[in-house]
Parts: sequence; structure tokens; C-alpha cells
Amino acid sequence: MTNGQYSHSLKPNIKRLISFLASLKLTVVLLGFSLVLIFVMTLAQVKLGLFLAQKLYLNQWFVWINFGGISLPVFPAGKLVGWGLLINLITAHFRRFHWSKSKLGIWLTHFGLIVLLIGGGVTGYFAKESQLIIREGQTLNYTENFQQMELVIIDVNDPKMDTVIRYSQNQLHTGQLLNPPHVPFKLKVNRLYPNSTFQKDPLDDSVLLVRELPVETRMDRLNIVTADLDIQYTTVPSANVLPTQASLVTENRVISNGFKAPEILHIEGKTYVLSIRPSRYYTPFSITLRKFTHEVYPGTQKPQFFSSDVTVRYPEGGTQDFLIYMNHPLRLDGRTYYQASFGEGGQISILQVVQNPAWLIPYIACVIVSIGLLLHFGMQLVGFLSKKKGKK
Amino acid sequence: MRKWFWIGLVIAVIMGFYHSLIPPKSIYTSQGYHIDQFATLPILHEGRIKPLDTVARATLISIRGKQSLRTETGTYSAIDWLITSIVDPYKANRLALFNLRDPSQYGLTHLGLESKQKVFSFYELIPYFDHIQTQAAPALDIEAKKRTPFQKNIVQLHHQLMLYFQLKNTFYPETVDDPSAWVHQFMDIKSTYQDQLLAHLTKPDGLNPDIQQMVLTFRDFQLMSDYAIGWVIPGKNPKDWTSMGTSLLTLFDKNTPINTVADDYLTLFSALHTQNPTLFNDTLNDLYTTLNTINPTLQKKLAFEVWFHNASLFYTTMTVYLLITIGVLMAWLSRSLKLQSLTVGALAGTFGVHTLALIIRMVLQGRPPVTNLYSTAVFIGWVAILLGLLLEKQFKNGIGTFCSGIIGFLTLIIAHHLSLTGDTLEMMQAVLDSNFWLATHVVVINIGYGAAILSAVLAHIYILGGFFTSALTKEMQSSLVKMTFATVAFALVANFVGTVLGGIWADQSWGRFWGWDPKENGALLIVIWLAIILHARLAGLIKQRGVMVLSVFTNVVTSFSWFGTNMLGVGLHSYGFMDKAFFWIVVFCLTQLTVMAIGSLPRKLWKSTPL
Repeated sequence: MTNGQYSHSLKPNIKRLISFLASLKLTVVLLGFSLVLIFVMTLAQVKLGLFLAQKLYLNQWFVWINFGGISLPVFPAGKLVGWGLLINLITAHFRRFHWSKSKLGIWLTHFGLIVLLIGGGVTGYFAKESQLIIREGQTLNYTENFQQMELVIIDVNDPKMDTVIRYSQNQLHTGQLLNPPHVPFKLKVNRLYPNSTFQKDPLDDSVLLVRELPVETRMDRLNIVTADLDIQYTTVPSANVLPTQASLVTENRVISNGFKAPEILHIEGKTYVLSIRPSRYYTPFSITLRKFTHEVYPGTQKPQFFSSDVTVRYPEGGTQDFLIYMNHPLRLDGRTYYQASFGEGGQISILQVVQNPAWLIPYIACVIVSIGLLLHFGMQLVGFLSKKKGKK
Repeated sequence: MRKWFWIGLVIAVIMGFYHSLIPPKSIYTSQGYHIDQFATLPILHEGRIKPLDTVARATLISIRGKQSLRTETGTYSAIDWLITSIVDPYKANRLALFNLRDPSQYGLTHLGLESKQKVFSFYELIPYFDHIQTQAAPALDIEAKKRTPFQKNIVQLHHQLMLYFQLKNTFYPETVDDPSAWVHQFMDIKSTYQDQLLAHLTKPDGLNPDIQQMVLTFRDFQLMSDYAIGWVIPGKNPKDWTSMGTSLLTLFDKNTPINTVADDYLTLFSALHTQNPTLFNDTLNDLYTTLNTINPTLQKKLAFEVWFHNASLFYTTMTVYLLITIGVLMAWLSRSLKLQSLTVGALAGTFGVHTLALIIRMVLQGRPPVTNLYSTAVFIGWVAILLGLLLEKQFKNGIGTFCSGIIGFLTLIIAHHLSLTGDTLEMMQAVLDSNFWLATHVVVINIGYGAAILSAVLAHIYILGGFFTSALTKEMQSSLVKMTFATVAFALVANFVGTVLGGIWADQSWGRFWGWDPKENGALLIVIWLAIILHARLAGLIKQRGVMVLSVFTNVVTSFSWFGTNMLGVGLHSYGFMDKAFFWIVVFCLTQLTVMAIGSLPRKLWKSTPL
């Protein structure tokens, strides 16, 4: 190794730092942290649910706890421990590992782990999950993400095509003035309610009240006469918006994911549709659900088999039929469709859709690690057995 | 020494087959009825075609927690109890069947139910049916894990009463004495009104006793159909099977004769009622012939299943494993190499029986060895025992045998308690329905669990043997250290590969390799913990004793992963919810922490000298 001629010029502090970062003791400490984190996160899921537990314990640098109004970081969280392990692994890799046959297994194992961690990180950043909730006979060219809502303005004036302008929920806030392109109005968001609930005014049955959950007790009056509520949603994003325009005085509108029908605007002789809905990911192809099958074991309610018989229509023409069922997803155009659930007794099929460019990385990583482990422990086992034979 | 090995093996095998060598006792067999043949009759129950014997056992287990019913008058086997319940409901209703343990927990003592009594008969509970019904109805609407203890009790009692009612009314209503006469009488009346049957039934003539009788019979058939515990009228495929009630309802169609199988069943029970064993046995033969024409290979398979349940192989091997453990301890104390050889032979023999039992389960279910929580216990034990045998072969000092014995005993006790949910050969849910992944991911991860548990048991021997006795020689310590390290390494590989395979299955099934689901996390925790042990040793943070102390904790991590994750009730892996088990797991973890504390005590306090 020719590092020797450089070692004099490397400051001793840097050397110490690299030593520290590559040390086994650090590995043990970080692994210990990860053990505690994962255990606590598993218990936390019971009350908080998976999404929130993941957010609090894994997707942050520190675990914050509120002490009477002050938030303090009490424990390293997933990001810190994850990056720590990755840096520890990489520095150890180059600093301490030697190229020898006996260490090849270990080298491969840890290299595979690096790949696995990186893959996990890429997935975290790039993966998109959504659902395809489709009725028998229906054709859809989009999937929906219920974790992320969007406010949409749709220009429905062209009979051949709808133009959709959308604002994702995290781009909106109360008091914002939206300036959507291609439409003759601006939209002022008077009030955004990320989690609202509705109630009829007990004194005046025709007036609707809305409030933000869970904190608010005060309810805002809405000057709308009727609203067709979709009662399956108890907390929904809503917005009180005002379409403004220089030449016309318009009135406040309320749009909500809890309303069955969207708001229709008639401005300058044109029609626009306003609504709040789950984010849509459009696909170039469309999917038609021909038949959903749901079988139970005879005489029981235990599910035996679910499947969705679909037809995919490609933009350049041409169709293809697929059967999606448990453990047999449909992989199409970088997206994978899985049979997840169903609704309305089998009238609706619910498919989980995942778009993850890094999906292959865990497979590759695991093959590398497995080969490494088998090599290393296999060699040790052989050595041990032959020593025993030698002793006899 | 070889001689003693083989003697031990033979004794163990004979003990393993103890129950299969003794024919099952039956009140009815002694009266001349061929109950062993009756027990193999097929019934579609919970989605699977199984022998009547299995349904009898599963139902009695659900109600009474045991596979036989002990009363002052004698012990009823499960199939005996089934027959008595159907043929002599008067007697069956007065058997002590429902174990309430503490009647005040059911809100029934203030209604007059004797609070000091624990087990009640159906008859004693009749006055409280309305109350139980009204209390159970709202509780059933609440999600199972959110119910209060009172609600859980009441729902369980309601369910047990319902099962009993269903059992009694599957073949014919419990109000009927002679079922064959009852149906044939109905057929005679029916033939009189043949042409206007439907007209008469839709506008029943209140004054005509025959018409009244037919309306009642219709309702009885309907009741049998609605409440059948299983379907006994066979078809070519499971989907074509129907219940007695459904089959008898077709008699209301013009000119439909009685289904031959239904007719045979009616005759069988009539023969029992009139105490005619000859008629019973002859009809049984006819029924068998009919069944063999419909499904030629089914009866053999069902007879095999009945034999298997009677043999109780996991129960016998559990006992022998305990004896082996005691045997090894005695061999160590007396330094008898002969006894040691005997125990190794016994272990090999018992392991053989254990293996056979697992293979039989696989054949009966048509699945890889692990399909539900019960089978994990049986399989994990098997893995640890196999590894213990290999260790014994390599080191020849009894340690491997001891570990296998104690792990075999404990895992089979756990299995026994897990079997109390009913039919252990149950069908799989749709999402788990993949023989490939069951054979790969599930098997490998369970191998990992077994190895992890073995490493912890080895650590126990080191700590408890070293601290409390002077018997832990330097030789033994040295081999324990080697064994533990090897087992930890193997467990790490197996758990890692198993976890990875789980991730791949999840990716194929749900679209994501890793979802931080409790069971996934549990498996990952075992991998991380084992990695910590190895890396801490490599880093010099711990030495041999440290490896042992930390290896005891492996049991805590493994029990969390194996059972704890199921108790959280969330995520994709929640197959079941066990209340009592939670208490025992906590107790177990406390014992492990105590052992760790003992292991950490200063070396000079240990009775055995250190390496």
C-alpha cells in the first residue's frame, strides 16, 4: 500500500476521526440505537398507526419529545442512525478491510449491506404508492394517493379534452392567492381546512358549519344552501375559496373532499369545475376491470382467492388482458399493480400501485450478502471440521 | 456404548407410539358399534373436508379446552361426546361442559347462578340464555381486541353455546328421537299431498294436522340447514357439498327421493337410538361404499387423519423429551456413559417420531411444514432438536442432548396450548396461499428462530451450570463457548436469509420489500441483536461470559418476534390474539433477565472455576 507516504501529511485529528468512524465500537453502538428505535417504533404503531410511527421515529434525525411546551431531541432517529451506519460501513470498508481470500466473505456481506441501505434510501425518496379503486366495468387512466390531496381546477369546455390545473395540498395555505394559468380568474384561498368536519346549524337547518379538527371548537358558517355530503369521510380537506376577477364580483365557494359533487363555475361564458380530491397519478394507458372474483372457503367467510380480470388499453392502440391475484401482480410501465382488497361486496376491486425505480436493488443486495455469509461461515465450518478430523 | 444407544432409541420409539398402540376407549365401541369407522366419516367444516372425529375434537376443544370430557359417570372421548350429544341430548345437556371459571365475570351471579361452581351443564345455563343473548349482541359489534373482559367472556360463552347447539342439530333436530322414522313418516304424508304440495304449504290449512306437521318439518329442515356445524352430503368438489338440512329441503320438490348418504346417516342415528349395533355397522358399510364411489381416495386419507389424532404423537414425544432431559442430568451426576448413550439414542428415536409426525401433517394438509402459529412451535422445536443432535454428534458431552430435550419439551407445551383454537390443520388465508413462499421464507425464518433459541439455551447451561454447580469443567466451558458461537453465527445467517426472503415475498405480494410491519421488525430485531453479539465480541467489548449473558437475551428478542408481534394486533401479521400468553411471556422475559443478572455477577462467586 502506498498510503504510507501520505500518512505523515494527514493531520492526526483526521486520522482519529476516520478511525472513530470506522470503528467496530461505533457499529455496536449504532446497532444498539437501531434496536431500540425499531422496538419502540413497533409498539408506537399500535396507537399512532404505521404512517405516523414511521414519521416520528424513522424519517427524522432525532426523536423529539415535548417537555411542557419545549421540544427536545432525546434520541437519535432513523435518518441519523441510518446515515451513521452507512458512513461507518463505508469507512470501515476502505480503512480496515484487506484483500484476502479468508476475508472475502465478510467483505461481500458488508458490501451487500451498503447496497441494501442505499437502495432503502433511494426507495424512500423516489417510491410512489397509490391505489386503483375500480368498479366492475369501469375504465380508469389514473391511480389515487389518499395520503396527499390536491385542489383542482378543470377546464371542461373542450369536448375532446379536459385541462386539469392542480395544486398539491402541501402547496396550499390560508390566505394564498392562486394564479392558475389559462383560466380567466384567480383563486383566493380564504381558508384552508386540512382536516375539517361538517355539521348542520341546529338553529338554521339549511346552513352548514365547518370546523378544523382536532383543535378547533368554533365553527365557521358557510353561506351555501345545500351540500350533498359524502358521509363516509369524517375528516376531510376543505377550502373556502373566492374566485376573483377584475370585471366580475363572484361569491365565496366551498370545496371539499367530503362533498359528493364538485363546485361548478360559470365565468365569461365558460365552465370550470373546482374540487378537492386525492392526488391523481395519470398513466398513458387505461385499465378496465372486467371482472372481480372473490372466493371464500365453502361454508366459511375465510378468503380463499381474490382476483381482478383487467384489460389494459395502450395509447398507440391495442389491448391486453391480465389476471391480477394474490402473489401475482401486474408489472406495467414501471408500475406494479397488486390485488390488495375489495369493496362493496365485490363490486369494487382495490389494487395497490407502486412505482419504485429502486425495486431491484434489495434483490441484488441480498444476493451479495447471502453469498458473502455463505462463503464466510462456510469456510469457517469447513476449517473447524477439518481441524477436528486432524486431531483424531 | 452402541448397544445402549439402540436400546434408548427403541424405548423412545415405543413410548412415542404409545397412544397408537393402545386402541382408543369408547363407550359405544364396547357396545358393539364400529365407532372407529364412524369417526372417519367425512364432513366439510371450516372450508376443509375432515373426519367427524376432528370436528368432534375441535368443537370439544373450543368449548371445554380438552379433547375428552371427564364426568362423574366416566370419560367421554370426543367422538363419544358427539354421538351422545346428537343421540341422547337429554343426557348430554346435563353433562358438565361449559367452564366459566368464575361465574361472577359473566354478570350471571346476580341472576342466581351458583358462584362457587366453575363448570356448568347446558341445562343449568338454560334460564340465562336470554340474558346471555342480549349481552352478547352489542359486544359482537365491537372489535374483538377492544372488548372489555366481561364482553370477551360473554361473547365466548355465547359462541360455545352456539357451537353446542349447532352440533346437536346438524344431522336432525334434537327434538326428534328416531330420525329415520321421522323423515320416512314425512315422506308418507308428502306422497298423499304430492300434486298440491306447494299450494298446501303456501296457504297452510290450520285445521289439517298433516299440513301442520309438514310446515313444522319444513322449519326443522331449514333450522338444520342454517345451523349445521358442517356439511356431510358429499359432492365431487368441496363446492358441491351440502348440509343435511339443505339436502332434506329438496324433498319438498316433487318426486325427489332421499339422498342415499342422507338416508344412511338417518339410519345410523336411528340404530343408535334403538340400540341396534348390527344395523349400525351394516349401514356404515353401505355408506362407505357410496362415499368411495364419489371420492375414491378420500376415506383412506381421513382414516389416516383419525389415526394421527388418536396417536397424539406430539403429546407423547413431549413427555419423552422431558424424560431425556432428566436422563442427561442424571447421567452427568452419576458420570454414567451408558446412561448418556441411552439418552442420545432416546433423543434420536424421539426425533424420528417427531419428524414422522411433521411429515404426516404435511401430507394431510398438502402444505410445507409451517402453516399457522401452532405448527411454528412444532417446527421450531424440531429445528433446535436437530441442531442439538448435531452438536451432540460433534462434541459427545451430553450438552446437545440436554438442549434438545428441554427445548423439545418446552416448545411442545407451547404447541399444545396453541392447539386450543381448534383444528390445527386449518386452511390458509388467501394472502398466505403460496406453497413456494411457505416452503422458503417461512421454513428458513423458523430455522432461524430455532437456532436462536438453541444459542440461548446453551448460554443458560453455561451460566446456571457455572454459577450454581461446580460441574462445569474447563472442557465443558470450552465446548459451550464454541457451540454458542457457532449457533449464533448460524442463527444470524438463517434469520437474515429468512428475513430477506420475507421481503421478497412482500415485494411480490404487496409491492414493497419492507414495510416496517411488526413481524418484519421482529425478525430484523433478531438479526440486529445477533449481529450486536458478534460485533461486540469482535470489538473486544465483551468476552466469553459477555457472549453468554447477551445470548440469554436472544430468547427475549425471539419471543417478542415470535409471539409479541402477534399480540400487538396491527399490521399484516396479526393472526391471533392471545390474552393469557401475554402474562406468560412477561414472566418468561423476567426469568431471562434474572439469568442475565446471575451471569453478570462477579466470577469469584461462581461455583465453577473459569476458563
